[in-house]
Amino acid sequence: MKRFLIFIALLAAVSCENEIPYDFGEAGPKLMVTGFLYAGTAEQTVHVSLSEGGTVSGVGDATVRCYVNGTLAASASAHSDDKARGAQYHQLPVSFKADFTVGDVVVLEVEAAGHKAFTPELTVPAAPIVEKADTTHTTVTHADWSEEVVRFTVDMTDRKGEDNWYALNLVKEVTGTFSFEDGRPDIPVVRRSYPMISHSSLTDPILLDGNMALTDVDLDIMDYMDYLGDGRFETFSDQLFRDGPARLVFDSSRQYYYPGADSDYLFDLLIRSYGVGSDGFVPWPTSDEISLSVEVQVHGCSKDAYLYLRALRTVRSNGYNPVLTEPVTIPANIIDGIGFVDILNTAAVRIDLPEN
Amino acid sequence: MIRKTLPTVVLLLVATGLWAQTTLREGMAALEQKYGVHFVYDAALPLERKAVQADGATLEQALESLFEGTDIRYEIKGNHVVLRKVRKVTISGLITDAATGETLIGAGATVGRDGAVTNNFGFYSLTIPEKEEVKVTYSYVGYATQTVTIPARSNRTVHVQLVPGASLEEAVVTAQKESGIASTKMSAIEVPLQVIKSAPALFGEADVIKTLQLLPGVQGGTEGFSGIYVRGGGPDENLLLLDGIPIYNAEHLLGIFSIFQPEAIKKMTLYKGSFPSRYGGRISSIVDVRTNDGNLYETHGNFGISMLADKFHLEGPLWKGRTSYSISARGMHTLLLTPILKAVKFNGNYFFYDLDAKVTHRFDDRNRLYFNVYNGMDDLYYRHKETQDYTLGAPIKSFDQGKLGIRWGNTVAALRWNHVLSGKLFSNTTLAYNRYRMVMETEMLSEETVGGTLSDRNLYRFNYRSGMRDWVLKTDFEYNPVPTHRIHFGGSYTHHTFIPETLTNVNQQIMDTQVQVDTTWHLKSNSRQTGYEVGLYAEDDIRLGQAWTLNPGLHVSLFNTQGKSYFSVEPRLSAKVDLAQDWSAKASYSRMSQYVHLLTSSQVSLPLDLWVPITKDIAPETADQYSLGFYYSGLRGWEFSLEGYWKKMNNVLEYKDGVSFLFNSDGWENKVETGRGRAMGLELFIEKTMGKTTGWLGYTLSRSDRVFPTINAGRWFPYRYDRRHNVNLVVNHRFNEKFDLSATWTYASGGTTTIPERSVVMVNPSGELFLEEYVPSRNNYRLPASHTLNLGFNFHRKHRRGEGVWNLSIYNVYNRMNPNFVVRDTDSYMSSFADESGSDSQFIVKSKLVKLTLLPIFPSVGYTRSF
Repeated sequence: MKRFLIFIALLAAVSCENEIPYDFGEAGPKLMVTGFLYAGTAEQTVHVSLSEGGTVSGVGDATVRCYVNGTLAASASAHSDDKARGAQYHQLPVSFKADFTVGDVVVLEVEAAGHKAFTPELTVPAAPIVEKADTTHTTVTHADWSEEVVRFTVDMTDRKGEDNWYALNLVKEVTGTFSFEDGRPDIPVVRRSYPMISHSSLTDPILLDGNMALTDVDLDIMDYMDYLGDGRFETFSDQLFRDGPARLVFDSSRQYYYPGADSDYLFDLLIRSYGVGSDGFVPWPTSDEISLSVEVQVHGCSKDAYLYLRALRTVRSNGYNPVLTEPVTIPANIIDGIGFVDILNTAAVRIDLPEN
Repeated sequence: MIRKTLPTVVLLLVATGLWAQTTLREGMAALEQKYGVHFVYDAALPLERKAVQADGATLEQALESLFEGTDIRYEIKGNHVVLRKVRKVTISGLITDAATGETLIGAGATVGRDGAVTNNFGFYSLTIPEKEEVKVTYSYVGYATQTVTIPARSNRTVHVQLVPGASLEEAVVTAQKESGIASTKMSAIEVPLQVIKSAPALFGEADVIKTLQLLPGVQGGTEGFSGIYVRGGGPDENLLLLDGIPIYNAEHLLGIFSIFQPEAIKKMTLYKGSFPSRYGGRISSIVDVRTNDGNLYETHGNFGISMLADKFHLEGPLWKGRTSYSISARGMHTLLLTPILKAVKFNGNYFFYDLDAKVTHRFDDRNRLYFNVYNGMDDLYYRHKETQDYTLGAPIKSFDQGKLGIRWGNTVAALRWNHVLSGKLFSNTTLAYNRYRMVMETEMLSEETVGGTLSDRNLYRFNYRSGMRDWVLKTDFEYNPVPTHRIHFGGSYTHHTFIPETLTNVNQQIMDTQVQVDTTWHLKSNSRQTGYEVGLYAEDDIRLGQAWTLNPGLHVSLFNTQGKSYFSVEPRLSAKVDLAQDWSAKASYSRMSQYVHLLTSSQVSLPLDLWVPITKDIAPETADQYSLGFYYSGLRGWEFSLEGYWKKMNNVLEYKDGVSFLFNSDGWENKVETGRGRAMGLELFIEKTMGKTTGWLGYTLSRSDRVFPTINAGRWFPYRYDRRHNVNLVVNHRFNEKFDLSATWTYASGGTTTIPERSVVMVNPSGELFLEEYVPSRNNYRLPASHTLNLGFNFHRKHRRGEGVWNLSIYNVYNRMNPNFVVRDTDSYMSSFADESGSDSQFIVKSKLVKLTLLPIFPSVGYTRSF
């Protein structure tokens, strides 16, 4: 429909098309550093690569120095023989151990491929105050289809006297052990995945505040699935509940939580561990103690991180079209480089789900 | 040395000035002593006021100089001089065209230094000291000046008919004019109708909005289209008035043409700043269009044909000398379009039309009634139908049908009553109805019948409507108590009904004779919103002495919607001072408020753009504009002006990142953000107004940007239509009565667009990585400059009754490929390479900017015949 209208506009007149040369002077190679650091977690990882125009290329070596409150707290290096070609987007992960507490000022210095870049001073935010999280099962009806969902209710309180920004995501964890009677070693099962947060409820003004409002029209006309793009997280500010309590209500499709939702993964795990036998059968465990849980993570973050994550959600959505929608500015905070690094402080509530 | 001397000199000059001043009483005492006369007067006369010392060789000369500028009249009777307070008399009436009876707006009536101009209904009121008789000079551009001797012992009604002529003489100007260099109001320009009619015409259609785009401070947005962006403001910040009634969508054909027909227009005035208090509701400009009333004596008209449209205008008396009518109609013909559409096998069409009709009745000298109607529409439709018959065991009939229709347009109806309450007080009361509506319908149907039985069916039907409706009641008064004051005051009430959108979806699916889906969905939540707007205003044109004129005013308004009221106080002030002969300076301050917004997310005006009101959560937009200007008119036939402005705007709207408004405004408040804007600029305007060659050169240096809390990370960014330099050159040359040439050349720095700079990897809180395009800031890229030369040639041929004019225009003479649209074309692919570490492939994203030029060199021809 949109293309038809544009076609009509063009049809009525002669049109000529040609290229405008455009060249950004700053499009030379820049050291790219990307990642989130987590307060309360010792293991930190950032990803390093090179960005040059429309290309992302890897680096063979990278060194990261972490300064906390002006003091060198950690230093780590990473090396890749093939410049991280096997890694996703040629990103070379550099891990280091550093623990942060609220109020710490953190600066990362990164060196790679003859470039040096810095983060600005990053202040560790306070963790959100999350009282509890509950789930219910319900069915949501739309224009001409319905959806079975797990509805999450999260009670939290805003920190007083300051502006706060938050991000929210779910982490589903499948853990357990496959044991075999024939004496072969047990197979540990640890799988973390990130279920989508759907907007079928459309009831939570807090989560929708500052974000594109979804309506049934959007859900009906557009492709529903993944409309809000990287629906694995949400972002919101404290604008609607400043200094007070808030209840977040959001849904996640039950398809993630049905018994058997991870059966493909578990089956692949068996195959990878012991392969397919000469008789064509996969060795089957005689016992498994598989448990399923979902962790609701509410992250305290800076305003910059809030804007960054909101931009990510928008550009990842199916509804985003650079021709017909407003442009999305991507925040970047790396000095003498490109990319984004910031610190999150997480409050989490784990909910055990029925056995898988 | 100079520093010490200068203050002394200044003090001496001041002291001399003070010494030169005396009171009237003191002056009279000196005359009594010198000439041996006695003054006889009423004790209530204000004789303590300051007066210039009496000077003159004779008693009469001395008395003349002493009482000059006062309202005291003297009479010498022997040794006595009788003093009397001068009575004022008012001369008022209508100034009209002698040939047609059409009232003339802005015509001047002057007596010495005292002057008045006609208002929008041709009425003037001039209050002068009582005299035996006075010579009143009546003048108007393009008409022969008339001087009439009128007895002035009592109030009089004097209607004057000016004869149109080819005179190139300047009209007598007065500071009471609403626009122009002599007016107190700055940044107000009356657009010459002749320029509109003779300017190069795209598709052979003269367009008033495109002529506005040739003025300094006014930008055209997308090249060749009709939107106007005034002093850093958006397209919805301009109040377009058709005989005082706002028009919401003034464009046809996606903005290539406006709805205004030049044949129907009597006067068009643009206010870019220094807004008169009677106007409110928009923050960037006012375009006040007044239409013809119709010829009171004879029937005349014209018809024309251009490459896209036919037009027709007829006016004449229904009752000679009392009732007149004026009808203008224009409709697009598809002669040019149909063969093209058929050639590309497109079963559809598009057309637009405008219809303007007006009836004016004069009851008597004091009462006139006007009724005018405007209706215009754009209609686009497309149909597709296909039938297939075949046999596969049984006879099968397959049917496919697609339909699309979009219609949009305005309807305006107004009833207006002019009443002259007295020679000093004039009123105009208006009752008006205004509606804008857009309807879009689409249907896709496919059916299959097997053996005569419906087997499969897929139906999707979509109906989308949007619009708004206003009922307006307003009354305006004009009061002229004394020549030094001209007071306007009045009030209005508007009942707004906004229907941003109603949406109905029908979805039916039948498969193998079984109904799978049968739903009808109707969006109601955004169907209707009402608003009530009340406005009051008062302003005064004040003349202070010989050099100063002031125009202070106040506009207050109240807007109520969704249970919340917004109250705006909008002070306005303009001042003009004559610095020296032919040199003047002006300054102004205006505060404006706006209660409606146009939601548009595209580079051109689309019928899907939505007008929405403010809400309980979104406050009115406001703007404060400060202006300063210098003017020179010492060269006969030339006018020079240099104006600077600074404008700050609050509560401007911008769409959040990633938002589109196509087909859905539900929850639009969540998709916009309010912020601040600022605009500043310098405008140079040099105009030649007389002679065979006329025209102007306009240059604007300007800047406009915006800031919002979360858009662009809270940093200022250039406004979409921020174009640093604008040059407009307009030249009209009349070779002789048969041939004239018009040329326009425009230059504008490139506008802005948002372009990704490189690829970047992003991460979410779960640690997952994504490859995206990095956009550092909004509107980060400047497009190339645009410039266009347009030529128009008019060939006139007089007939026994009327005149025929052939217009040949060439748009974009040197075929400059200006960017009408700019889109980014991205190509991403895997590329193999090898280096010291081995061979591999990498993901490459290559982007290029593609500009679409809709309007390259384009000749047009049109013919107009008047009778």
